Amino acid sequence: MTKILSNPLRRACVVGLFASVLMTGCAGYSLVKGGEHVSIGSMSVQAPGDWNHWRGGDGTEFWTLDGPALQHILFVKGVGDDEAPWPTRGDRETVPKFRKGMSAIEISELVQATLANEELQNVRIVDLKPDTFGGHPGFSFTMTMTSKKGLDMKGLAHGAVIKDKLYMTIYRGAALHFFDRGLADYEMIAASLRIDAGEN
Amino acid sequence: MTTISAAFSRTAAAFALVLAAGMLTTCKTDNLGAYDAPLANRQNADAAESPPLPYRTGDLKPNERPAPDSDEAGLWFIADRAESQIRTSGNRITDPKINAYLKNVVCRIAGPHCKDIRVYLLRVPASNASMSPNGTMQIWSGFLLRFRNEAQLASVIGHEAGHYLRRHSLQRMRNIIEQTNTFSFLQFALAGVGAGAGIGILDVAMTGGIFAFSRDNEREADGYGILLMSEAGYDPREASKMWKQVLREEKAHKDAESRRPEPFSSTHPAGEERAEILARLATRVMTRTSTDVGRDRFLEAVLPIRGGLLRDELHRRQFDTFAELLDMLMEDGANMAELHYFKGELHRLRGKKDDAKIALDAYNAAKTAEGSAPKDIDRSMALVYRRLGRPDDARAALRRYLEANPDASDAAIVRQMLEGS
Repeated sequence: MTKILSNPLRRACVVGLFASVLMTGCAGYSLVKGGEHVSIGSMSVQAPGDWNHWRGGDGTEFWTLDGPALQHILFVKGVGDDEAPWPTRGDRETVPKFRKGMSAIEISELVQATLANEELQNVRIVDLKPDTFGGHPGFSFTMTMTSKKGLDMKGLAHGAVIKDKLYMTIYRGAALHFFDRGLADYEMIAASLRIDAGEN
Repeated sequence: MTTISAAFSRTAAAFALVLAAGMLTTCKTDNLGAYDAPLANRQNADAAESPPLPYRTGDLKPNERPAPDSDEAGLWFIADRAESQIRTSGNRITDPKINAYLKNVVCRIAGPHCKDIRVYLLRVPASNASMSPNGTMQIWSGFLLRFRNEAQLASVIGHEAGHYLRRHSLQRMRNIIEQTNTFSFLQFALAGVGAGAGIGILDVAMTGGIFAFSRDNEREADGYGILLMSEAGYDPREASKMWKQVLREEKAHKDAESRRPEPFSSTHPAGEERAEILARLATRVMTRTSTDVGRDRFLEAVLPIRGGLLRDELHRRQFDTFAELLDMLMEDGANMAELHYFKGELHRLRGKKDDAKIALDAYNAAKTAEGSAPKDIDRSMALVYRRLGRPDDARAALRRYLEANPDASDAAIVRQMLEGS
């Protein structure tokens, strides 16, 4: 131990690691076993198979099989008026916000603009239609987009506005293999998910 | 020992990434000397029938590839691999017409080097173009959207061709080696880390994280750009005009310091200086035959894809600059319906005070203007009417939308809105 601390470089690494843990709060991955019930905000989800659950210090929560760049399900946990649907690393000034009273069309545009703010390109929304989500009347739509480096991606989203708050699951992944790999699970998750908006 | 060796390899790999990316990537850039270099051999700017200017020593000959055992060959090897990724990139605009058009302009500018320069149009809503040492030219769609005519496009292609012909990447690499004696370090790193590092280099090179060319390289490329465009019969004054347009957009930023600058302009000479010097150079290279602006040809090629590029720009949500861009495009007056529609979209999405009314005015102008607006204009109008508390008008607009787009993929949700409103 003394030997480790006597090395300035290693000490700096330890301090850096400690600082990064402090900065990110309780951020990290945990394993969700198939069949397990999980609460994500006021949403409750049953995992159809094993998934990795990320809880970020900024409140972001997503599930992934192979890593977020390859595919992930993002949970939008009840976003209120004038709030961004989820934190992005893009230009803060141009982050689009959810507004009370938005129609499904405007919400699909909000998702489109937020993805563009994440520097995803050529984001297209198709097949926007009425759907149920979390036991509430809502909507769903599919998406195509490319990453900044030119990787083709696909997306599928479900959502509902309950008591003026926006709840969504947004699944996206690389068009080649990875989107399809998690799609059946995602569809089961979106169908079985329940929202208890009374908790908010 | 193994650990130390591995750690050193990683450091070497990281350094190599930075260095190689720096050598490969796009354009950076103040004395008139560098600007002047391409014009140095020109005897008399007013001599309309003067012979084509010979390229200076060190320029690539047509069809030339570097000797396999040269340092330049290594640079080309990396650039070739990067190009193979660009070729299959999902961001590439593959529409044959626009690509054929761009290639024609490249050939007109590059002359005997036409086959050596391969141009790729990438769908990226920002103003940038770049050149790799092996002749890979990238033009981003956001730049294409901002040109007003073919001569302006030609000025950028000429600038990039200047980087290629003058082997600026190689110059840059050799300067770094001379100054830091790091080439052996780079070779060691590339040999030691194998394919993994290769991918990293391409990654950094393609995303242009580090801008390679020196400011003098950029000035020289500007000089080449203006000379080549003039030699090809284009009006060289358009190069300066293009930079004035860029300046107009920059001025439209409400708070320039808090926003990200455009990559191309940020690494190039300051805009005002550039516009002024390019205007001065234009007067020196202008001949009686360099008068082609090519507005109609440019619009014919770009208008079919412009709507998609404007939508990309809208998604950036940099509303002040987008408004200025729309104003500039409106001055050209091509497909005004489309431009009024996007003005409406801008104000609808910005959603500040009075924006709803301005949006409606713009949509109404789009309906009567020359050209054609996107088919979802009535849906957009309905959303604005809803916001203004005019449900009857919203319903009427939604009905018009469904009549015009009976097979729209969102028809079900629009019908639901009609029933619920």
